[in-house]
Amino acid sequence: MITGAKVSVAIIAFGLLALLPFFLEAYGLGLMIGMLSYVALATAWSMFSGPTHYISLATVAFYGVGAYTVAVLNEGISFPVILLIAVLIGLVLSLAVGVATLRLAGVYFVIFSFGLAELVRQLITWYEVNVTGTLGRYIFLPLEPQDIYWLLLGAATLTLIIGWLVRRSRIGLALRVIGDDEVIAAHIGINLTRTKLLLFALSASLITLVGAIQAPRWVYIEPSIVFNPTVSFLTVIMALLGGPHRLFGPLFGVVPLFLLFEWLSANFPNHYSIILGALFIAIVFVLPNGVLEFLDRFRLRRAKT
Amino acid sequence: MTSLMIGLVLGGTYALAALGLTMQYGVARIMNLAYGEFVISAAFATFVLFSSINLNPLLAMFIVAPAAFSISYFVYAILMAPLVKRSKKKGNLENDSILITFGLLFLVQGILLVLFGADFASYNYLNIPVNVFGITIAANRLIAFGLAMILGLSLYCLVAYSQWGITLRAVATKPENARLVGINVDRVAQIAFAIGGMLAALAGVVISMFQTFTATSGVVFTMKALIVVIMGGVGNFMGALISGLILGLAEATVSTYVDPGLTLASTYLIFLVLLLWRPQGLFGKGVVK
Amino acid sequence: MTSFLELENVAKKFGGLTAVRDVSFTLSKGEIVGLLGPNGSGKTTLLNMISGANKVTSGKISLNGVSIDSLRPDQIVNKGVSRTFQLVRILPSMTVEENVICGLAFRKMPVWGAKAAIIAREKLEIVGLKDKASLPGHSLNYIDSKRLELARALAADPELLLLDEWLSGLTPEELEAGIELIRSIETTGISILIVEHIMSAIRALCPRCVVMNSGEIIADGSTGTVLQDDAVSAAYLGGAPCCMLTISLCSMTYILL
Repeated sequence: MITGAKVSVAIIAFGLLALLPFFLEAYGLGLMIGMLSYVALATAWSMFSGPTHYISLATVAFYGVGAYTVAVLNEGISFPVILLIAVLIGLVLSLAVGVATLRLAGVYFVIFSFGLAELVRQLITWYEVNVTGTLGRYIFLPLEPQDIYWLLLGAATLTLIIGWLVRRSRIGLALRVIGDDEVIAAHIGINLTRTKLLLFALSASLITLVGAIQAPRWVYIEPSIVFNPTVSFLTVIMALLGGPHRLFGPLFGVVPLFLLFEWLSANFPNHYSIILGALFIAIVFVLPNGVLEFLDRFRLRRAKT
Repeated sequence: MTSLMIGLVLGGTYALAALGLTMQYGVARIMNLAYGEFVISAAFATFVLFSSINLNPLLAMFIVAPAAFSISYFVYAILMAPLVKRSKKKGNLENDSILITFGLLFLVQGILLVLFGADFASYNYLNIPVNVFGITIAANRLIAFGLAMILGLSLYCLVAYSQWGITLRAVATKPENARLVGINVDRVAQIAFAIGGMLAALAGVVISMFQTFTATSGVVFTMKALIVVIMGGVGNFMGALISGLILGLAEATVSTYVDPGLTLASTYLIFLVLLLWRPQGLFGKGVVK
Repeated sequence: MTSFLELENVAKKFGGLTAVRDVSFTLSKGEIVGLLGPNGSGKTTLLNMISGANKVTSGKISLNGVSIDSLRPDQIVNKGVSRTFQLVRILPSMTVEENVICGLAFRKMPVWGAKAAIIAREKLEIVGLKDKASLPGHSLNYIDSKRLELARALAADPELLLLDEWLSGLTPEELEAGIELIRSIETTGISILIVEHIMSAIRALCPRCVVMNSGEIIADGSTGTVLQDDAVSAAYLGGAPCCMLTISLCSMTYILL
């Protein structure tokens, strides 16, 4: 249910977040940029993978494509146009992947998405080495960290609004039916492939956008930097922790895990992958439906006794 | 011709790796995304045994394989068995196992990175040219191929002709019905998973004889093994063997005549064509779902 | 009467197994027909081909003169065909009402929002589930799940309703009520094809029935005559041990579970 109070809270929160760069120094702003990008990524991921249970492990493939598009086009074209082109490329790529795999059982999709980042990375590397002759590009764009922050705040808000609209729409309901039982879905008139394709493409395009917005932060880009599998991994674990079935679920997963990740990579730079792996396993075991659902159940049980 | 031989060697190891994954996915129903990490771990173990106490890889196999079997056995008991128990709802096991093993992937990779760093590892074992039918090939590759084929075929014979193999195939095709004829499905699944882990380790030993590897190259092995399994038809052991060889040959051809940088792309192309043309696999009996 | 649903030489092979061979029959607008036959005679496969769940190997299926045999299930729904399943299928994570709303939201003329909720309540009232509208789908018992499935199928506003053993497994009282329910649906002008084992129900509901055996139609005519047909009783008697076996297997599974 949507109430006036909730909307005003959301608007106030947005306003406060928008003013944040005026009060933060560089480190805090960097932290917020990272956090916002994961809010957008995890929410976009959940938009498709939450209701359908089609686990996409390809987040960084699209994210990286977004960033690389910026790296290739950053001279001569204005940034908004580059962003638009990046989103279009992400859209085309996701449609191609979706057409090939989404007609089939979910596991093909998972397998394909699993190796997609590696494939794209190797293809770009091959292209850069053999055709352009250089590996690595520089991005010189007149963007300050706060500009990127505001862009990401916009992207994250856009993702949440789209997510909210999808949940209220017929296509959102269609996705839930597909996640529950594909046979029923087909027999009540849902075009399975088209519905899945549409949402996957939407989710992937948003992920591409986030990658493109973040690109100027790196200054120097090469395939091994932007196609870092940790991005896919973190997106999934954050969405799962918060609960991918709820609009704000991923948000609640991002905040603690991102801070933890920051702390781990500062204090245990060599071991964070181990710790996160173990944490991931623990989350799947203990909170299969996310922390929000867990709290709800807990409250319900308390209320009953 | 040399590329043909190299392709066959590569294909032999893929076939071996795919057999293990067929065990884990086709029989035990665990989609193991950390499979390649098991392969690489075994490769590193062989590397360590060779460089520290100068142990012959062929002997190292006898340490690595049983170790991998017991580790996988316990991994199943600790991580997978509770999921199997929990997955009364259909389809949950696949999702849960994908997620859990995705976590496991990062865990094992993290450990390997801490232990060995991100550099390429390799050792020099029997890197002497041998002449076979007029083709010159390194002895280690020849041994690798022979070993992969012997292991692969003996497993196939076991599955195809032994009593135990029948049990295994019963669980692979219809776990519900296997239960009705008195098969302890959970136990068979656990052993199949452990054997799968052992085969992964054997593939790792074989690969380490002739290829360089890094702590992060597991993903590619998982990917290739998965593609071979799907190509052969999930749960089809002979299909996995033949498809492994085909993939190896295709890769060697691409890397010799087109570009070595495009081998993974060619693997993907094969996968894509397969999905569009025959999703049930070349020799498939359909998808286990 | 003009033919509404028309099957022409329809056949289905699964690998080497022929499940349905050369089946032809027609169904008129508003007609209610029983489809009988022993287990494995191809009834459900036939239903699956009409609803698009299985593709025909050869032959033609048309509805209102338009071929539907190459369409996907969702397209066939939009042509006005909806169905229930032999093993009841409910959307477990949704409420009873939401289950019905799903039937409304994706049909040819979709209904959505507040209006959908009203129609959903109406459909639930028809099947007698109005009081349970807000319960979660997975909490329903067997008969209520069947009722809900029917409500969902009705929500799609079908011209043709396919019922796959919808009356099986009910108690005598429930059966009585179920027969009444189907009869009331029939009076609204919906054509119904019922796959069923329960002879009394077929006798009560269907003036005409079609009997299948080993994938072929062995009788088609008025229910009274057909059920006295020698070939039909032979098929059922011949199939009797098979039925017995199924029953004993069922009970075994039951005990094992």
